[in-house]
Amino acid sequence: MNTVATNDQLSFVELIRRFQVDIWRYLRVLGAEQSLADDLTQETFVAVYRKPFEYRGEAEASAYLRTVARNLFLMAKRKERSGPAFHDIEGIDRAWVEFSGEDGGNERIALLKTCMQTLDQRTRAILEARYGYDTPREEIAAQFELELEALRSLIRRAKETLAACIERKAQ
Amino acid sequence: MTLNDAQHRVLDVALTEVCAELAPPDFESRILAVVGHDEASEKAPIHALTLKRRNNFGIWAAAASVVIGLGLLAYSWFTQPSGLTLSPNAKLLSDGGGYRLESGWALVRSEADKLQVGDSLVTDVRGTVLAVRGGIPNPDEMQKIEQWLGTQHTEVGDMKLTTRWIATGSAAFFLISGSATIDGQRMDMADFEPINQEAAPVEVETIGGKELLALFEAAQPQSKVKCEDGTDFDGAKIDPKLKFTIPAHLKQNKPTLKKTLAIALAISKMYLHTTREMFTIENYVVVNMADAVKELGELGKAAYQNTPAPAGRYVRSVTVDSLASCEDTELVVLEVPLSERLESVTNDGSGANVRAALSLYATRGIGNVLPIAERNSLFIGDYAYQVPHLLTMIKALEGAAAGSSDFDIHNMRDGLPFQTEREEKTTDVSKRTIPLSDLISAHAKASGGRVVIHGIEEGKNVSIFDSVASQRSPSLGLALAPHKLAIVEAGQVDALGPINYTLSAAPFVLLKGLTACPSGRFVTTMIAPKHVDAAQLRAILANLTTRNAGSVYPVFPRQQLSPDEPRHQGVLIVSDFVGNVRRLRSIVALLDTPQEVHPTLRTFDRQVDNWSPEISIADVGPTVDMATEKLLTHCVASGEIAPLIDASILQYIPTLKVPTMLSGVFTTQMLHAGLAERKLALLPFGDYSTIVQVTEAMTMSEIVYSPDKLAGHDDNRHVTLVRSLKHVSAEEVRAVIAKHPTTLKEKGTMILTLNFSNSLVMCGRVELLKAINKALDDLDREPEDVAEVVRAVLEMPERTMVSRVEIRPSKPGK
Repeated sequence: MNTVATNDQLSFVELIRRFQVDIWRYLRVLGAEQSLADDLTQETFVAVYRKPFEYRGEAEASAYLRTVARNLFLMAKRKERSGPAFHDIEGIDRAWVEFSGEDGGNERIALLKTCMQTLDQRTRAILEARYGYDTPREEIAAQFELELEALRSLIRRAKETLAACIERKAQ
Repeated sequence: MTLNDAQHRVLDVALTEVCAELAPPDFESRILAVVGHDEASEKAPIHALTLKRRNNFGIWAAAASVVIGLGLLAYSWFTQPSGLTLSPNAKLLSDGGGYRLESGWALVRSEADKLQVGDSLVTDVRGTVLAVRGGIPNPDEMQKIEQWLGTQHTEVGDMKLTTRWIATGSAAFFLISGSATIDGQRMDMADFEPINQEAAPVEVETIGGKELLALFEAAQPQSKVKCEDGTDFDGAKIDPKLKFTIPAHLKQNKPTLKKTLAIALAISKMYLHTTREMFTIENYVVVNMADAVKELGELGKAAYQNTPAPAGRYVRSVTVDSLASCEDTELVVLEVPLSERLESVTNDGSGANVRAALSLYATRGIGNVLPIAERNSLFIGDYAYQVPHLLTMIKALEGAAAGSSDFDIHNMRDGLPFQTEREEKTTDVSKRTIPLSDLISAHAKASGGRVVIHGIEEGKNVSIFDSVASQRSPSLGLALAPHKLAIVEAGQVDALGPINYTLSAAPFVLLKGLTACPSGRFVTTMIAPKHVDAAQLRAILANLTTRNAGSVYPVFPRQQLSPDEPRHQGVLIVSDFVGNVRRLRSIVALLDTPQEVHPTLRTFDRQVDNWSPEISIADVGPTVDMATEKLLTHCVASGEIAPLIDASILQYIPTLKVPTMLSGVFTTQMLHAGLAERKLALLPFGDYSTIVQVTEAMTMSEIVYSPDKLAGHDDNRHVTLVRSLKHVSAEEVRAVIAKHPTTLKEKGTMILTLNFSNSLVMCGRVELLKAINKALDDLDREPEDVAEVVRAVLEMPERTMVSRVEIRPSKPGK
């Protein structure tokens, strides 16, 4: 069994190279921690290797792999007896497809890095503390002398600014 | 722009990736290893290899250079050995293909032949090395050496710093610049602390892509650099993020600039192809890298199919012997025969297994390794500088297959890597923040003639808590590690980048050589287990390697053809930081037991199903906020922890919540508790300590070699414990513990099992591991003798109806 695609258009190795980043990030968006996302990405491709599917194009293959990954994620959560922290799975799918583009989100992530430089230093430091070091909001609020609600809206506004910047640059 | 919840989620993940500098790992090798898939098998059947040279110029040039070289060598044989400068008291003997230093000392330079000093061999010098017969010189001898070096116009920063010497017993070496291979180990200036930076005579400059191109063009006014379509090449096409730290004296050096440009272009997905006019003037055409890689692929396919190789435009066909005549950045292909010994350790005899392993170490996206089954050889296509690295790997695999003691983990339980006693002392400690760009400049200065290519953004720093008196700087390798960056040798240029992208160039080091290697170095080594299947061990080790950086790849053994044939368990190719490789090696030594363990309770007593382990975690009690910096300063100053190095994580953690019970007294206990509350862990890191998120602690934490040693450790430290079970199945126990509400749910905790030795590898906080260990003590007891029970049942009066017999574990003996 050497190809996953019945029409031989994409070898298994090419499939991994093309979609591994896409699936890993998708699992992270679903709420998988890094180590779980690592394991499930591997399991997704192993499952596809053992049960090949018909390759009808990139978008379809990506959607199929996402479905496999999502099911594995839900099974893992069930095993842990903890439910997934999402309700609107279609909305998440839509948002991810929009963001990921054709390269699993690499381009947008690179744009995000550039856009981060346009933020003022304080906002950037707050985002780095929150997302880079997982610092609780309460501590960031105390450190930057902000009310908790003010911090929340500052982060929200910053994210909206970044999203707009990414869109602008992507066009 | 308003975002909905789903879009917020997506952006949260993206921001985490950007801010925490995470990158999706490369899953290709691990997935292929799991499914036993081989890319090569997708391709056409393999036949004989026939590769043709691109043109005859290379042959004539190589032949001419060999003749000239032989002439020069013959001349130098009777005069001054090339690349060697001897001290007045030195005695040198000619020894086959090289020389032997019998006494005294010598400067060994790039063009030197191999030199034997005592029992040690120094080869492949790229820079300057001072070799001394005997041990590290005493102060008087050092003074004499320094005076002599002065007459040779060679300056050395601080020779008295013993950590800068490489002592092998019968010889001592001091790396003055560049790199060299000493007893099979590649030693590089990047591994050592920069010395005497202020006094370094070399001036360096950091420039961008356009300036590099301008320098390159200025260094060779007669040559032309063009794009394939004939248009002028614009420097802006080099990745604008790349920077080049170049020693001033190399700004006119054409070969070095060419190598730098070639690597910079390769990073930017372009290939610098050299053309010649009238055999003398070199011109350059910049082509799409994909075209050059495609040609490599076509040559490989022709080798498979035993069809005539297409005419190569960019790729040169060479042999192992003629490889030396290639330029570092030339793309080459060659066929390498595999020995029968190597065949015995591969599972299919075709070399496909070896090929899959070596593919990891070919230049990413460019290199190509394919098996040629008919001739039991490998086709290798890559940059010329990368090929020797792959050849070393093949040699090492052959050594492992032949059962060389170099790979025997059981003879290497030398100095357990993490159990160093720290001297209690009080010193003044300060926090310093060093920009990485400063360390890169220091490296470029100290290495003498090496250019560093990197893409470090401004503002990347490393923070150090260290003694005021010391003021030493960490080695560049160690400073880069917390940022998940590494520096590797790419020909005579150093390239610095994310570790997972520099993996292919990680130097190969034998296990026995790890002791002498600096901890911050990223290396590749091989471990050959004696008893446990490499694939089983790989499943465990893959979870314990540095995240987004380390790699474990198994080369599986083939089936025994007869019962008398010695059985191989396969070989693990491991790439990681030296400190972690030592740790992985120790874990394998603990797990690789000669006897397979069959748990006695597994077959006739299902008590594990009903087991409810009593695992409870003590509450830390009331806490107070304490300034992190103050606490750390105290712990370093008192010698309780080693100097601390980190990637500036502390700027986000101004205070820690520490227990109040020891109010007024600073202890590491408080530090560990405060960090644990923040889901952080303090771990040993080479000669330093570092702070990481607990989710990464499992890939670095110290090994506790027996459960009873846990008592000596602080409750909030993160450690790794290996425990074998005798009577219950480790796998079943793990499954039960995993369901426990307070165990695996705690971040940074992981339990892995190995069926062969029925062992558990547990990573987590000491307090939690103590509790799990106690619960295991209760469970893992020898059952009553079954025969005794059966006899008792048989002896019972007939009227006694036995409906069920239950066997419980004995009470432990007092």
